[in-house]
Amino acid sequence: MELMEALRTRRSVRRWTADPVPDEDLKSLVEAAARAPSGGNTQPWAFVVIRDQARLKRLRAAAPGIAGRATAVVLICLDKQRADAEAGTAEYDMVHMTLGAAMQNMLLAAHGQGLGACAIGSFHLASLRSIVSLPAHLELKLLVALGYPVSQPKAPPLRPLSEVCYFEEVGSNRDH
Amino acid sequence: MTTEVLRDELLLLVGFMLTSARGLVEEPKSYGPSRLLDAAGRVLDTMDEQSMLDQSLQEIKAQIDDERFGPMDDEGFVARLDDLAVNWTESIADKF
Repeated sequence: MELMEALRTRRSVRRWTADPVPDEDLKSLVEAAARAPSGGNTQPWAFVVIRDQARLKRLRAAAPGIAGRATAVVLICLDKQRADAEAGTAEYDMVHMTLGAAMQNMLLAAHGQGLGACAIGSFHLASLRSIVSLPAHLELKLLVALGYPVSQPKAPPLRPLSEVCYFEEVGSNRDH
Repeated sequence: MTTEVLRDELLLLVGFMLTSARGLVEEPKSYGPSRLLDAAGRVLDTMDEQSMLDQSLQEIKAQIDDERFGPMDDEGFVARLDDLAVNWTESIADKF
């Protein structure tokens, strides 16, 4: 799939079939995420892939943002040890943005593989730590719930480019 | 569905409601209605798996699922909630 087509057609998919996603495809998604740019090549992330059905059920109860029955969920964590050692506190905003870039890579890779995915920020942190036994140095920041989509959701309303993009000076939209 | 499976489904629903309650303290106001719709949808999912939904409730479930799984769209959302509430009220009128 051509990149701009992927960007235009990707949707937040919240409803999936029961078909499991092969491990090789899940690894491919993590590989895509781990190719995101990071300040100073910090690579301050860790990814935890959940595909056990019993654990997924508990996880869905502790992460209200997961509406449907995902067949896999990837936890995107900040590796604080690595971030502290490599980035320093001055770079912490950048470290968090890096995790966002990793997430977007994963969402696009999923779309390219015919999967549907949704980024999830609504979860109860302490409950999830208990479910997946996260060590203290890994701080959960985002989830990506995924599987094979039941259908392609309709496109959400988007703000026009003229409202969000300026050339040279803010308030000047004469170029587009 | 065995009683044990039903118990498990209800336990998971309770977990969802508890973690939703906690999350909503800090989350956007619009997430509140969404979580309640999702809870309704989860109950109806369980009932559907037991063939407990008649045609009118199936239609309501489909409406709820459109909201649960579609993109967040504020336009017309309140009117759609009103429709859902009225449709549900009418669909259960002969049951009670």
